[in-house]
Amino acid sequence: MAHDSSHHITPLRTYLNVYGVLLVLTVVTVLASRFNFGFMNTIIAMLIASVKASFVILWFMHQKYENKGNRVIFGSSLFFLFLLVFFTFTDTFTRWTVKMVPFAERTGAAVKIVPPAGGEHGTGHGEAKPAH
Amino acid sequence: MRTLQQHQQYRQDHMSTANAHHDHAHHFTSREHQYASSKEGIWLFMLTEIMMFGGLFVAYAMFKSLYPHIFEEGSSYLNTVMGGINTVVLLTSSLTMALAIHYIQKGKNDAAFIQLFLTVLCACGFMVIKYFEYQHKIHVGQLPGEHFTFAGKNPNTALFFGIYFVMTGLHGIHVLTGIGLISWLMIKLKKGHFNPNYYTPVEGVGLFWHVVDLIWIFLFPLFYLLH
Repeated sequence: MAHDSSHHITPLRTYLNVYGVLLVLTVVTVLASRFNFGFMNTIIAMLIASVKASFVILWFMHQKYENKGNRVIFGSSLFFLFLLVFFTFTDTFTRWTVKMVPFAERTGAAVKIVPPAGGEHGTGHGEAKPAH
Repeated sequence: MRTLQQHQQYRQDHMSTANAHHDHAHHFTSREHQYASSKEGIWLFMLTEIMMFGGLFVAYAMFKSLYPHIFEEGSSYLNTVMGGINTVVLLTSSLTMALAIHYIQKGKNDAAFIQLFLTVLCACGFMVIKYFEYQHKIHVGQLPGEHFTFAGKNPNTALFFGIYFVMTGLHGIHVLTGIGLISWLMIKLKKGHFNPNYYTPVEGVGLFWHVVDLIWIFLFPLFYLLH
């Protein structure tokens, strides 16, 4: 019965190589943050983080040798995350109340953000208040 | 997956060996079946973990795009050196965790024990550094809520620190949980529970530990690097 398991054993060298790549990418992302690429700052940082994450997932978490079922489970977590991001952002950034706040910030002065009184209503939707 | 007929045939063929060795529970057809099922459960749990932190990442992204100045100022108060060291510490612990499994697969339990010990050591190191970071922030009044007394250039930096403490705090709880789980693995390993044919708990805790590392891979640039 001994040693009949068909599990893939990743060689030591592969693990050390992956570790080396992760360390190098950590240094790269710290160095990249010292330069200002404007709006690309976030994109560059997230790209490097995604590459690092891929190495961890594929080799440390053995997703490279994983069966289809477990790949689908992991893939679906990314899919649902995408849905969450997509609908939250399309909702939030198509409301004009939200567009006003960064504008107030951009004027330079420190603006104290006061939560709108009366909850949903009176936030600038132009709706009439319900009669009491 | 087997059909019922194949399954029954399999049970007939293997009944004696399976019962003689007690190497898997009765509701699994084989040890391999049991291993695969356990692992599938862990991956489902990882899915919920990714979704839980995912929600917080969405909150971060939304508030940051709404109030970029608050986040710019807030992240400038974080210590990049401490965050960087913690990144390396956590990456190292991920390596040692992977190596522990590698050694158990090869039947080298003593070497695996050392790797698990190093993993716990790194995890504790991470928490010590985190403690000093938190201590300083609490001292200068950056802990949100009624304790918030910090006066930055922008009066609303509490928003940044709120998200910072929730996300790194939840991550820290995961690190502490990991320390507990890996210590449990060390005890089981010393008692001789694991061998190249059975190491499912090590694989499961390993996957959990790598997800903890995975989340920090994104937390580090988002909080410490992007000003």
